[in-house]
Amino acid sequence: MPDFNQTRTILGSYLSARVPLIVIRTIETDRAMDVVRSAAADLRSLGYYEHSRTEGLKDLLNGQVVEDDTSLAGALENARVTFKARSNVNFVFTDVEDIDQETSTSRHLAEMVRLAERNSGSIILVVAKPVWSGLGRLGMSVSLDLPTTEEMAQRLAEIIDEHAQIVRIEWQHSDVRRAAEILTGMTELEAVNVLMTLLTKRQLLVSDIPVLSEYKDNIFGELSGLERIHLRENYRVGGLRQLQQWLKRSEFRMKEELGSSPVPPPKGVLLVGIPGCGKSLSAKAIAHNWHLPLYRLDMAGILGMYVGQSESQLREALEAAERVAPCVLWIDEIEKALATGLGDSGTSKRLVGQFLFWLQESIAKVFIVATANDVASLPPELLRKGRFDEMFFVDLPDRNDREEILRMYFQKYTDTDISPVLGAELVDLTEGFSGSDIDATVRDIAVSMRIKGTAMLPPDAEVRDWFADVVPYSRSNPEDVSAIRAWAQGRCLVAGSPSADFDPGIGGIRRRLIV
Amino acid sequence: MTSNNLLGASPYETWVRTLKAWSQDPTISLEHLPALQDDTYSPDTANRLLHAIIDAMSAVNERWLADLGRIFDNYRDPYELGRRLVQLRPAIARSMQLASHPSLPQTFRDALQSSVRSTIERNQREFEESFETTLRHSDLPKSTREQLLRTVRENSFVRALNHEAKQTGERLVAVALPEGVHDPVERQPRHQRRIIL
Repeated sequence: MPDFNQTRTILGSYLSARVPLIVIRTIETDRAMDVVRSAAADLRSLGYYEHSRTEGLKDLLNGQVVEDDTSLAGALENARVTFKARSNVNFVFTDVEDIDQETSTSRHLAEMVRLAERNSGSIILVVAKPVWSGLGRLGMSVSLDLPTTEEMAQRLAEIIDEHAQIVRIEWQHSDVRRAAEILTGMTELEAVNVLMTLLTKRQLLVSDIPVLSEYKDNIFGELSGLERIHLRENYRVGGLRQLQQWLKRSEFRMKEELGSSPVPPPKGVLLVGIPGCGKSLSAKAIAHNWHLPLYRLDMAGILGMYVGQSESQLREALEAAERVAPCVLWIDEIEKALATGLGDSGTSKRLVGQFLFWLQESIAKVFIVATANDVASLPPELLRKGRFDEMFFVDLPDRNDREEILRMYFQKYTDTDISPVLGAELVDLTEGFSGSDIDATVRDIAVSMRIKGTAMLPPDAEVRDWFADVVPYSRSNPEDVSAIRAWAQGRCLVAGSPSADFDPGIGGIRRRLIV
Repeated sequence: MTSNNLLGASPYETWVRTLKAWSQDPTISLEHLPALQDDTYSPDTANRLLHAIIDAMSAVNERWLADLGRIFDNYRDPYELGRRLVQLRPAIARSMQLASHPSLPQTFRDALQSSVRSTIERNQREFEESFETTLRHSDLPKSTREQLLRTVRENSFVRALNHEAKQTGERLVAVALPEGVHDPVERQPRHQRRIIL
């Protein structure tokens, strides 16, 4: 949809062409009126009148009230005699109701448009909804999109400049730009309201920028199909070094100005692998580290019982994600809705197609972190190179990763560092453990310490026993683990520690076989 | 429309013939009416002329009230009601046009204008009250009742008293139409807001 300047150009051409009905579709009436004033200023030899239900009839360009009759019927009567008396007169109406169908109002307007056409007049309607086709086809229309990031940044900068004398401003140009990116998707008035509220603190700090997402959440209310995940702790992922290294590059692209760049923002990553190895935790950690809001798209939840309902719900969810961009969109267990199979009347195939189309066309900064456990059921077209930016296989942690994970969880739950000797023993004992197995075991130890009322770790032998009693997923389901590993071989990058043949100096990450 | 048969042997006769025709035919022009002064006629004659004027206005008013009644029997939605109420304005404007006729003595004009204004204001008030009562006893949804009442108030007949009108009562162009160039407009940022500390 056209932005402010494009809409202005289009409107100017319609006015010059004396199109008798010009429909401007927008939810931002005031901003649309700015467009109209701006276009009208270039064609000042014409007459322009603006009618609203609050102020009546005004001269559009000088704002002078011509008549305080707020009645639409009265204003159209005024327009009627004016069109008959003079040519090249334009009437702008901003509060016209009930014209999306054939009604008395839309029929009357159609009559007036025909009269205007005979006298080179124009009626300009600023509306949020489509107009009745019998009316709309008498003229031309243009849709004014919400402010672009550039417009938003310019508007925010203007307000910040106006307050520079009385508010301590920490934001630099790049911060204003980031704020504008977060607020993109809101109306100009909503964004101004948010910024003005922040300014009342008498300081505008860089740390305020993530708060903008919360305001945005509040304004959007409940988002269709999306659940906001509130990040309450300092999420850390042990191991997964290759993934984390790759994410650093994506973070840069996610945050850089892409306004005039041909390079699209990153699409996201697909994490496949053994359950409990940090796929979901990675989504939270990414959002936390990037200071972006995290939304979860429950793929199973979008499946509806009626024909077309699932597609409609997926479309709404993806549109909602674009509105709240920039954000991290966590699609947990993506295979639940997109796994193609028999017996669903082709719904899954349509969902895959719809999702892939969106993935390809969307230019919003929505970074997808999709996770999958049952990889064999995923459709091949989803896994083709170029769909996601990268696919990572999250395997069971190796020795180094397990040591890091063990230390991390002991620190987190018991606030203690384990001795090197115990650490080495536990690394051996936890062979085949997933990150969540280690997490659960250390948490159990911490709970037992609290029950005993002590801050001291149990004796090493007891700690070893806690781990020795655990039967990890890899031991209870070795066939599943083998199957996932076999599938990932040659298809994915390893998310964990690079092997000896990994050379980060040339081109960063490269693919390697999973053995 | 001016017809020669409206011209009488005397100014008085011209006035009376014209008034009679004017009360029946909205296209009758008042432009040819001869000028009268306070002392043109004796008090009795002046009084008879005044009554002729009031009778003509009353005839117009009665027809207007009949039209108003028909509107309330036929309207289909609030917008159509509003539009039809606006279409009733010319009759009011015609009465005011006669009451303000420059050929009438100033004392006549003052009295007649005051009378027309108070009649229309009273009509509007009574009309709103009776309409509200009718709506209260109807089974229409509350939102529709409110919308209809708002329409009646928004399209008040009183507004027609201030319109300049043609002889038919149809309003003249109300907006000040620009010729050529407007005064330069200094565009101000719309949301020129400042926080209050």
